[in-house]
Amino acid sequence: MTIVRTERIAAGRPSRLLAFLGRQKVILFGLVVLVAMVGIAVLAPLLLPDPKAINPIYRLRPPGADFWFGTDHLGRSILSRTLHGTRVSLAVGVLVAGLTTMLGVVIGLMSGFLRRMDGIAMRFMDAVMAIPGVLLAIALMSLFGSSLVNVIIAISIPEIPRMARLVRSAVLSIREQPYVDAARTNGTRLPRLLRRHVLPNAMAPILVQATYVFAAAMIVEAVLSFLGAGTPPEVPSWGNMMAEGRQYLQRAPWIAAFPGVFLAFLVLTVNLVGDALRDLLDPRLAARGHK
Amino acid sequence: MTAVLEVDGLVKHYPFTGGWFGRARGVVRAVDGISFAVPRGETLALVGESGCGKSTVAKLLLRLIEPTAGRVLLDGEDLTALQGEELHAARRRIQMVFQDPFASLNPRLTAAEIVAEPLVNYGGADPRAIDELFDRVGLARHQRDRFPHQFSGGQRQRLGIARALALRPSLVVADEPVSALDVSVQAQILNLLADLQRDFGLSYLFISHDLGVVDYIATTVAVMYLGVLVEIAPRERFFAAAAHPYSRALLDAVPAPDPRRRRKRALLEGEVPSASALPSGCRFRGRCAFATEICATTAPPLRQVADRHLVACHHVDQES
Repeated sequence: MTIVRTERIAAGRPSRLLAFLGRQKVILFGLVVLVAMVGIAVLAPLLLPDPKAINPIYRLRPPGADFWFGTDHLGRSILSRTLHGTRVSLAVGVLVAGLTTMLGVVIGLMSGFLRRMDGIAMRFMDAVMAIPGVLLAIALMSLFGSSLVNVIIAISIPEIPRMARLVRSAVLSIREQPYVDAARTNGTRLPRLLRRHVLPNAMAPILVQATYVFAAAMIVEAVLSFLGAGTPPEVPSWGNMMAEGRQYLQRAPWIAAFPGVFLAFLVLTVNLVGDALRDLLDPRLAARGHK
Repeated sequence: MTAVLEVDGLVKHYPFTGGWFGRARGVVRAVDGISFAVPRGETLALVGESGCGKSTVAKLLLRLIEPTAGRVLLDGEDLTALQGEELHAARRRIQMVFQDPFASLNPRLTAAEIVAEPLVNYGGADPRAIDELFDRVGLARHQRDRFPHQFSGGQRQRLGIARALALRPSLVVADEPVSALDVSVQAQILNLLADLQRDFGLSYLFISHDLGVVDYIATTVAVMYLGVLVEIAPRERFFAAAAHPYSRALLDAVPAPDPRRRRKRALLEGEVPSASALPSGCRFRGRCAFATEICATTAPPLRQVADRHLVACHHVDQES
């Protein structure tokens, strides 16, 4: 009786949600790791020394008791830099996911409901989709200059069309549902119709897609930084650290390794949460995927 | 006797395109010029087989789709001419009960929220009004906060009826309201509809393909075939003396409760023609045992054959 169970979850009973999490070990694990990462991001500046503090005496120290993760070529603590890098990655992930979802939902709802908008908006989205995302982001970065805000915008733009298309397709099927006809005959005006009847029923795929955007954004941020087209070099982002560590890969592999491991782990976690969320919200997919 | 609803020459054509450049290839004549009236406090049953355009008529009346031509007069006001706020104001007087009691209820809203929606759209929902609606359709007040999937089919249809009733409409369009329900539940819902009609002076346009149900609830029966009306008659007259060959075939197809009773049955042969490639003349002639030359050349108009009994057939004579 998967259907009944999950729909009760959707109905918002906290105790049942906890019981469900107890059964779904993956989502529980993912949430614990995510919360830990957020904790690290929040606490890093309080507990750790300045990630930008240069200390040439201690340069290129391997991991040990004094420097748990070692130091880089300028004697900066890799532990401090890696954990500070969590802030950058999480901020980029959350903000890109948020921005993409917001704009994707607006464009998707409009093209799904206003027939005249549809053709124009979707052809424009096709055009954006035809350009490789990282390439477009690099072009935007070189155009607008390097800053964290520009990174977030540059990563968001190539992700918006996918979200818009997803929302549009969900809206197109929901608008044919009899309960939407019923709402219209009950005198529901368009804004309320979208807000109360269409959007809530399209939330499941939107949430799942948002988690994938979250994960993808963190990778793209690292790629851009690694290529020198991302966050400004003085910011301790994982991509910047890996770019710096590349030159010392044989003498001091820990410089690139720790941010790399953290990035892989965080992306994996977010993807696991996304998968589990998909199962939670769409029991039909869950039945096929597991069990 | 005044009519709540008068439908005059209602037409809905769907053009379809083909080829590389989307040239118009033809039209599907879903509803092809129908006229009827629903007297106040009475029930007009619209009968016909799947795909004959019954549900299209319902959607046209509620302005869920735009008619190609024709007028829909509700309390004398032409709904098809209204836009914006005027349409919004008129909408509360015509409400609908849907066929599928699950898909017509938003799964994310509670029972009380579903019933409150129309009230919220027209000024605000008083909790007491919702309690009264629950009482009126036979739902328990403690079920207010349940979600649609926690109700049975019959209870869900009661919710749908409460929602349609909330605005105290003049006319309720019921599109196959019981066809998705078990037979025992069908009777309960039909009784509820009949009670509500008596208590609130409601008028119904009742769409169905089940003549047993129609016999129970209808005041007048209108038979639809391929987008046109072929017969309109008062209920007793229809079940006693339906005149159109199609109506007769529908009546003959109703199973008899007594298996020993042998009846002369005229079951239909052949397929319903496509609404995009209609035959010339009478639409029914391909399946009609009485078809002659005139049926191929001229489409028969609805003619009065007796008091309040109209038939569209060349071979039905007027009673003196």
